[in-house]
Amino acid sequence: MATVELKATARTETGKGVARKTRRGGSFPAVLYGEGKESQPISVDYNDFYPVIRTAAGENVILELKIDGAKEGSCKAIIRDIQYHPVRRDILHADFQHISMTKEITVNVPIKIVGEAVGVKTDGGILEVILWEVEVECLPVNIPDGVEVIVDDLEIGNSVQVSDLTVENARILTDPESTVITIVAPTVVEEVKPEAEEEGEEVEPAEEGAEEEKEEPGKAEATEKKAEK
Amino acid sequence: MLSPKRVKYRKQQRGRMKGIAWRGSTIGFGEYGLQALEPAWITSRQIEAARVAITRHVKRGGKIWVRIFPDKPVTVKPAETRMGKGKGNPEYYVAVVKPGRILFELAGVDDALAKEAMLLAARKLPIKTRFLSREGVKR
Repeated sequence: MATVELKATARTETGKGVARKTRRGGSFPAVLYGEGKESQPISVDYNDFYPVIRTAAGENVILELKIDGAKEGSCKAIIRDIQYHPVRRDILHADFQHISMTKEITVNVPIKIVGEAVGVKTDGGILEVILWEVEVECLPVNIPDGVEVIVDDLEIGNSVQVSDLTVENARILTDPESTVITIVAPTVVEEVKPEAEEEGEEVEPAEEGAEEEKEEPGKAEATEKKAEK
Repeated sequence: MLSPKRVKYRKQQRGRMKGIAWRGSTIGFGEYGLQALEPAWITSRQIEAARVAITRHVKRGGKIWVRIFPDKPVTVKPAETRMGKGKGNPEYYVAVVKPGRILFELAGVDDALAKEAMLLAARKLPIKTRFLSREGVKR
C-alpha cells in the first residue's frame, strides 16, 4: 500500500470556539494518538485532506503526517475516524492513529461485490448486502483496498458468510458465521384497486384509548347544545 | 399506515424541532437514501404515500427500509367548536424529522432507478430532501 503525505499543524488551544475558528479558516481539528505516545491535537487543511481519502484505498491509507510545530517532525499514521456534518457533509473532525510498520493493526475493510448473481440475473432475486465491511488484522503495508466477494454462482436463498471470504496477508476478525451477502426472493407488488386501498387505509389512531375516550352521554349533549348557541 | 400499537399517553405537547438530526443521519442498511434537509412533522399518510411510490417504481427487485416512525399523536379540535373545553382528540400520528435524518433507504437496484424512485417519494413529502448513496460500494 502506498504512503501518502499529509501536512498538519500542531494545535495548542482546544475547545468548541477554537474548533469553529479553525473550520472557518479552511482547516478542521483533528487528533493524533496511539503507540503509547501522548495524544496531540492538530489541524489539517481541507484541501490537503480530500485528495487523500479519495484514492482507491478509501479511508484506509497510510499517512506520512508532517506536523508543523511538533517535536516529532513526521510520523506514520492511519485514519481511525472521520466525523461528518449530517447536513453539510463537510468534515468536522478526524482521528489519526500512530502506527508501527512492523506491528499488526485492525482496520475495517469494505466489501466489494464482483460479478452478477444467477439468482438476480435470471430469477429476478435481490442481492442484499448485510455486512458492508469486515474487520481485518494485518500489517499496515498489507491493508487490502477491499474484500472481494464473487457472487456469480449464487441463487435465490444462497448466502455468503464471513468464513467464505479470503484476504491475502490478513486475518478476518469479524464473526465467521456472520452473513455478508444473501440473495432473497423478489417481493411481488400487488396492484390494489384505488377504491379498495382507500378503504383499507382508514385507521383510527385513537383506537388504543377507546375506553378512556368514552364520554358521559349527558355531558356530550350539553357540549353540543352550547356549541349550537 | 404506520401507527403505534399502544401508547402510554394519548396526547402529547407539540415540542420544538431545534437543531439537526445526529442520530439516523447515515445510511445504515441499504445503498441509497433519502435525507431530510428541513425540519417537519411527517404524517403516517405521507410516509405511506412515499413508500408506495418507491415500491411501485422499482416494481420487483429492490428492498426498502423506512427509517422514521410516526409515534407522535396530533390532536385536532372538532369543527365549529369554541375555544377551551380541553384538548382535542388524537387524529393522526406524525414522525418528528430534523434536517439530516435519513427517511428511506433502498438497495438492490441501480443508481438511476434508485434516484428516480427517491425523487418520486420526495414529491410526497412536505420538505426538501436530498438523494444519497453509500460510498465505497462500487457495482
